[in-house]
Amino acid sequence: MLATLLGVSLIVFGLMRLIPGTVVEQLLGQSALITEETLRSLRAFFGLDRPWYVQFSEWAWGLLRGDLGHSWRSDRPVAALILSRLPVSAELAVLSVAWSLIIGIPLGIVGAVRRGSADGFVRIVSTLGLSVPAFWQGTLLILLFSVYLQWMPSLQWIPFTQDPLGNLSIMALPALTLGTATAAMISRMTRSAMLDVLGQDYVRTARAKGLGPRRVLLRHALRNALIPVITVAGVQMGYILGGIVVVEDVFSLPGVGRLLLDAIFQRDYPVVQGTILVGAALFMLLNFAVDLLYAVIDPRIQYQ
Amino acid sequence: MDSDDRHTRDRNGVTRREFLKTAGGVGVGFAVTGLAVPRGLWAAPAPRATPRRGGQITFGSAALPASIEPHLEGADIYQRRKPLFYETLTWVDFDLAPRPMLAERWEERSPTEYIFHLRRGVKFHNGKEMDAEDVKYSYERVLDPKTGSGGRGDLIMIRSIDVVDRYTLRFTLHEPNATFLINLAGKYNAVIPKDAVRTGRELQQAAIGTGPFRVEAFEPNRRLVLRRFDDYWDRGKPYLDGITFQAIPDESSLVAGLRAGQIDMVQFESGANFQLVRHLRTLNNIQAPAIRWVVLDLAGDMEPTKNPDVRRAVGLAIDRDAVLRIAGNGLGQRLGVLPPAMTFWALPVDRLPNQKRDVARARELLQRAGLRPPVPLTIRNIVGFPSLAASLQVIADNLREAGFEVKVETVDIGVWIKDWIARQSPSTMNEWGGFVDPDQAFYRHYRQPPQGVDFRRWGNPEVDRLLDEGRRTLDRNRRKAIYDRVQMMLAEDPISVPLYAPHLLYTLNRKIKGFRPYPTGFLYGLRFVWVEE
Repeated sequence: MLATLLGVSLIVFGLMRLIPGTVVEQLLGQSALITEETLRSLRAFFGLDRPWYVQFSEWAWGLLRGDLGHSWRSDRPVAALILSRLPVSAELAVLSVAWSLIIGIPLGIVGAVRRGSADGFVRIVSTLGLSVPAFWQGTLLILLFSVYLQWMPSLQWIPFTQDPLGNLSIMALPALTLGTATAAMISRMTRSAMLDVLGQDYVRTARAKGLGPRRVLLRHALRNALIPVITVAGVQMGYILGGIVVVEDVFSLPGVGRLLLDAIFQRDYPVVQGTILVGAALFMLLNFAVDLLYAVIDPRIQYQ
Repeated sequence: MDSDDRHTRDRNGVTRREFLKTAGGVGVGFAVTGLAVPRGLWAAPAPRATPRRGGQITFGSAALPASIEPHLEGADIYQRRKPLFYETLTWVDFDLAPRPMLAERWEERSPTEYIFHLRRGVKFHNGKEMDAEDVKYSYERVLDPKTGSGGRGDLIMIRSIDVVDRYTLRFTLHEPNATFLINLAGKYNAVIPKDAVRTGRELQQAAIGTGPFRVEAFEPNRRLVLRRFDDYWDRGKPYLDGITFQAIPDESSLVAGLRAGQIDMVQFESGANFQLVRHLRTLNNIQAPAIRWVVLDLAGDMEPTKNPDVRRAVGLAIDRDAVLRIAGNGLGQRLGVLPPAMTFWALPVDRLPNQKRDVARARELLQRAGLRPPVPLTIRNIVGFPSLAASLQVIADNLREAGFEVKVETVDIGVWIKDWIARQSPSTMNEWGGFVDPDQAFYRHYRQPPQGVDFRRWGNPEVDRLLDEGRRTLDRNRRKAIYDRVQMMLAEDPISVPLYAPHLLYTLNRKIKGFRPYPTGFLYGLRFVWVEE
């Protein structure tokens, strides 16, 4: 994990410096009368006048001490910036995964059990869900709900603890947008896993023993079909972390995605580096949690 | 009353023309006395109804700045809001003339020596009284190359700043400079307490100014909360208790917020969204001429636009009325070189050459330049500027008809700024403005280095000479003649092809009264705003 994080930090550090333009030009704007002296002063102010390996070593040394650095534009600690935005993004991710599971699993089961028109419907819906880009879907939902239906949640972020209903009304559309593609993927995976499991001997045995169809489906078939579904859901968390950037921008949510996007536009290297590094660490932790979950679902799996 | 003035009328306010007439009168009065001593800074026409103290408004905008540093942050989204909490010695009024602000008055002892008498009892937001040392420190900080302020070039004419006494300063210039008083009000300037800066980073998040509002909370890129400064020197102002600026990147969400009453005021960048809310009875709309223009800037040192005939061909090929109609939704003005909102300085379109589309002539010019159609022309565009993208579509079509083959190259703003200030940008779409004097508009843009930047690499020595002369000449009418000549030269050899000047587009809740648009888009007008019960 440490090696991966080191790799990620090197890649992010390098990529940011490959993008043309620095915080200096952003700060000066297009009309400033710039002299070499001014540019030199500002580059020195941000430490951009030093070799890249010196800059990286300083940043890495800070990381080892648990310091992600300070934002170049706002001078706030990067860790504090991320922490202040994390609850929004975490809630969005959890809600969208919940949404995708609530929609995706039943749809997949229906598709597997009711072969025919219902299955066709499920396949069309899941293909659509996978094909529609989040930014387009988000804009359509904003237009539909706020402009045509006149249903407008608060534009000011409200924490769940302060006003649960107000919070959920803000998060509903973004979670729907972010979770749609994952729901489609999960419904497809559930359908194919269920089809596979429903043809297994132990399901036939369960039916022969006289168990009711619901019990066979939910206790015997679904539980076994869930292992690949959970793997997909885990992998989809990566997609969701990426999608958060787009969805938070479209819905004006003050989360980590917006923080990252603003920082990229402003060439605020410490914020970009810190945010991506934290995102990568979270992704690895999630995958680790998914691995642990296998053992809970399938007792045959044991970790030494 | 022309159509612009008709549009500009706030349903319960005054027209821009009525306002300018009165403000102009006030200005003439000041000029006659020689010393400008207004009773109150905002000696402007009184609104019809009596303003009411109290109330708060939420102002929605697509973006907010990452920092509120007074001398470094150059972003337009910051500069527009900065006058609400930072102030300067002078300000440029709605009539585009310099007026006293933190200076109560000034004396011009000679063309290179100015004595400024400060207002007494001006308090900073931290309670400290402002004095001459603070003013000297603030302007010297901008001038100091170590600070790295983009505004240093605006003050470079200053030789020295001396404190005469606690409330008096002497500014000595290297040579006479026509825009000195205007530049003191420049966007990078702000008077701050002398002891406010230790590492240089303190002011990125907290503001200690003298303005009518103090910064109560600032969340980078998200929210800026201003509260009424009770010790403000212009007693009785401002009327509002507070203003919250809320960043909402998606303009359709801004529209929705206005409709739902969650946002009280918006400045739209997009004419299409402004038109979406125009018909709503709960809202007022203000459309005002702006000193801002959309332009196609040509590269003077790259093929094929290094040839003046090709530049002329580009200018003649473009249907600027169509660009305004299609890309600007008709919500703006045609311009020749300077926007009509610079009323005294701008030459009208009908007095300038090469303003009408003439495709046949454009083809002839290409032939004269020895070029055979299709002539390849790369035009750069910037991500996130819908008006530029829309203009570019029309332009590309127009140019194709004249024999050009347009290749569009889209880059993000960071790349664009880097190449622009490094003087290596190809021909590019651009939107600029915010100037109140032709020297500000022309000098750094067209004067060759080291005095200017000549971003487009025009390299025109005659223009250099005129711009130097315009800067040194103090007589306004003589300056006008000089800048008329510069405008003629820019029209004859269009290194920049101005397309249209988009109007300032504001939509506000009907309970908001007294707002006056400022030509550069700066939100000075929010000082007068009050909320009806």
